[in-house]
Amino acid sequence: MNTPPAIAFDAVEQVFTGNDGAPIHALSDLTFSVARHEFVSVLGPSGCGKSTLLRLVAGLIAPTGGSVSIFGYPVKEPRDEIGIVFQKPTLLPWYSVINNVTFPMRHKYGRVESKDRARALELLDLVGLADFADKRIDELSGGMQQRVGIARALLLDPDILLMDEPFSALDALTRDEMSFELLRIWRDRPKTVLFITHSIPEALLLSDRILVMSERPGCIREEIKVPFERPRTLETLGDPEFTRLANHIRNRLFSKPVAA
Amino acid sequence: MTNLYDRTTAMSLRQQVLRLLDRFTPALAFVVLIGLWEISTRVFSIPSFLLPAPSRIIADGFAVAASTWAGHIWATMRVALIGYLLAIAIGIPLAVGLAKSRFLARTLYPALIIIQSTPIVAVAPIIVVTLGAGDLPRIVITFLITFFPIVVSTTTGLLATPEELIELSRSLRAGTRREVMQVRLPYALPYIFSALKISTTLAVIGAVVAEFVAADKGLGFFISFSTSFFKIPQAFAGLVFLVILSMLLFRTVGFLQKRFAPWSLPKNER
Repeated sequence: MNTPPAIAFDAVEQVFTGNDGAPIHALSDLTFSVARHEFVSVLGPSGCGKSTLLRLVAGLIAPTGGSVSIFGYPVKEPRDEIGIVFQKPTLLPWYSVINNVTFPMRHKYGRVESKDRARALELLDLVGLADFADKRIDELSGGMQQRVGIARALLLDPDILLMDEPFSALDALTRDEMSFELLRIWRDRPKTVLFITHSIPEALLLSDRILVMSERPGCIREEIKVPFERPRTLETLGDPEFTRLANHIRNRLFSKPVAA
Repeated sequence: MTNLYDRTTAMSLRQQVLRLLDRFTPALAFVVLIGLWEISTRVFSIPSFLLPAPSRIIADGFAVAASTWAGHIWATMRVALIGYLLAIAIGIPLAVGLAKSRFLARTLYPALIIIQSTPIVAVAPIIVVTLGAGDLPRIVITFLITFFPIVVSTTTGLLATPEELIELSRSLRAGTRREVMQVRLPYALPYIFSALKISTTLAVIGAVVAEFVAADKGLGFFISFSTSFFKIPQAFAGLVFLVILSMLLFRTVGFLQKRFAPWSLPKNER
């Protein structure tokens, strides 16, 4: 008996109606699956439907064709098994840091109990912000805000973490730091992660597997298994294989598909 | 030869004087302006019914009994406040309706535009005739004049809520009520407060316009009554109280925002 994958796409099509009424083909015949506790990155050029893919998993939109399922169940609406980290931190400036982390409880159930606060403090400790619980959001740097966003996404203890280019708004140094932070968090709290990015080194450093997408209509051009041992360190970035794979992916992204 | 220590203290002293001067510049400018006004009325012997001197305004203001003033001020303030609070109580829920329902937006928005496009001053006499004597027509006029900016700003703020915040709310399946109460309305607060500030001044205007049309009390009534008897300095004294009342309401809203929603202010105003 085999367990169903955490995330499964089966021949998913997504067509939007553009502003001029003409149909926009965002995703075409997209089939892939993600195993439980696997870290998978989706890499592709801007506008290839990466974000659409994430919103399909989140149940925020419904596919126009094919099916999306989570643990074997088709996605019909947003589910509790999923936490989302957005491109921007998307925090609520009227709440303190801790109240931002407990926000999912307040928003979903209308109340926050002391055990939720305890859990939020634990998560803030996990993302390295234990001393900032009572600070205001605007007192935090961009990187710290995104850490709060990650802590918030983990509050309801989801099995699946969806990350939509979470570090793309950060400066290069903070970005590298956050990548290693995420690896540490993922090691402490294993999750199924679907990580959307357009950074090749980021995808290589973090993932078990990389799905390289084509331009619109987005489909998977290549699937790459990342061979590096965990835990990954700064040394991983210097590995000749790392450079080779990065070049390979770059060529795949820039060239026309060999066979359509 | 001066040593370094002396020079730095001298610098900081000069800076202190400059800073003090900078701080009191608005007050000083005001005093100078009033002084110029006083002097020019005397030098050019301007008749008091054209432009009364500030000293004359103060003297005539004190000639009116304090209880009379209190009565007029209270009458205007009551109407302005009730109309204003009513505009908030109706305007904000209405804005939520306009932001959340396409049907409401399409049916009510044209009506709102028509109301806003109607010069309230011109409608005031009609409203007084329709609604009779008493506070009611005055409150309605104040309401009509303050209500529109509140609705428009609040709706704009509710709709300006970033898509990602809405997606966060939807991903939690929290429902429309919590989405509005915990995400959209707080997000709209900076918009709401700026409308509330503008509307304080409008509320006083509404109350005064209504009193011009029909009233036996209030600062607007007092001013039109005084001018009809050529008691211009006395009318000016009434005007001073109106300015103070307007500023007081404006400042109160600013204070409430700073006290209860400091994050909704720009960083340098917190």
